[in-house]
Amino acid sequence: MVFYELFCISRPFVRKMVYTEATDIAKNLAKRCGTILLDRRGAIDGFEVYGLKELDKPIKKQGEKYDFGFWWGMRFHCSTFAQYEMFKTLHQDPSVLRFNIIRKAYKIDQL
Amino acid sequence: MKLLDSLITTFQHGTFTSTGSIVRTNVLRKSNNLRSLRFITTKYNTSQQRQGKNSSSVTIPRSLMPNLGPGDVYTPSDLTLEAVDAQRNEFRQRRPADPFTALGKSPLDYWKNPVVLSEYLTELGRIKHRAVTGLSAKHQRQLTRAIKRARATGVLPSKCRSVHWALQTKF
Repeated sequence: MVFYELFCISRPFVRKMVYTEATDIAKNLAKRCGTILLDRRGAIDGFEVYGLKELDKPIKKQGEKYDFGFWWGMRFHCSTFAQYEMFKTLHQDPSVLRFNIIRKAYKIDQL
Repeated sequence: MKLLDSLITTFQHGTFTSTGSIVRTNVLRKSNNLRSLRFITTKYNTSQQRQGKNSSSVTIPRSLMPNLGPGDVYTPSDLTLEAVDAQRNEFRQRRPADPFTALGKSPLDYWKNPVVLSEYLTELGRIKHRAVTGLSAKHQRQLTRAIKRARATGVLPSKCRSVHWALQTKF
C-alpha cells in the first residue's frame, strides 16, 4: 500500500440544467474518487479544502474559460492499480481543471 | 580655525592637521610570514611637527581608525569606535539565514502555497539564485522541484509571481 496525495482544482460552477456550486462539484468528485479507492481495498486519510481561489491565468477546459477554481486535496493509501484507475477518471472528467497525484511514501514507516 | 584646533587637540587617540585633512607618512608594509607580521600603523604630521616643535606622534592601529584618505573631510563623531564599526559593517552584505532549517521543514511541503514560493521568484517569475535566497544546497534543490511542480499543477504562474502574493505584499 502506497501513500498518495491528490491535489485538484475543480470548476467553480456549472451553468447547465441546474446551477451547481463549486462545493457541490468538489463533493461529487471526492465521492467518486473515494468509492474507486474503497472498492479496491484502499484507505482515505483525510481531505483538505482551500476554497474558491482566483487563478493566475484563465484555464480552458472543453471550450470554456474559467478565472476561478476550487482548490481541494485528499490523502489516501492504495495500490498502484487503484491509483491509476482514479487518474483515468479525473483525466476524463470535464469538471476537473487541473490535478496532480503525488507519491508521499512507499510505506507508512517512511513518513 | 582656533575652534577646530581646540576640538582636535582634545582627542587623545591621535593628532591631526589643523585643516582636518590626513597626510600619510611612513606606512609599514605587511610581510608574507605570519609570525613576523608587523603591526600596520600610520603616522600623521601635526602642525607643531611641521613647525619644528617637539611633539610626540601617536601610532594608532588601523582597526581603530576609519577608512579615510588624503583630502577627505571628517567630523569628530567619525572617530568614535561605534562609527568605525558601522563603517566596516556597511561593506559586509551577509546572506539571509535559511528559514527552512530553522523550522525543520522542507520546501516541498509548501508546493501548494504560492505566497511562500513567490518570495523566491523574481518579477518575471524566474527562480532566484542560491546566493540571493541564502538557502542550503539541499533546500534550494527542493525549492526548485516545488516551484516546477506548482507551475505544472496551475498553482503558480510561470512568467510572473502569484496574484495571491501580490495581494498580501505592500509595495
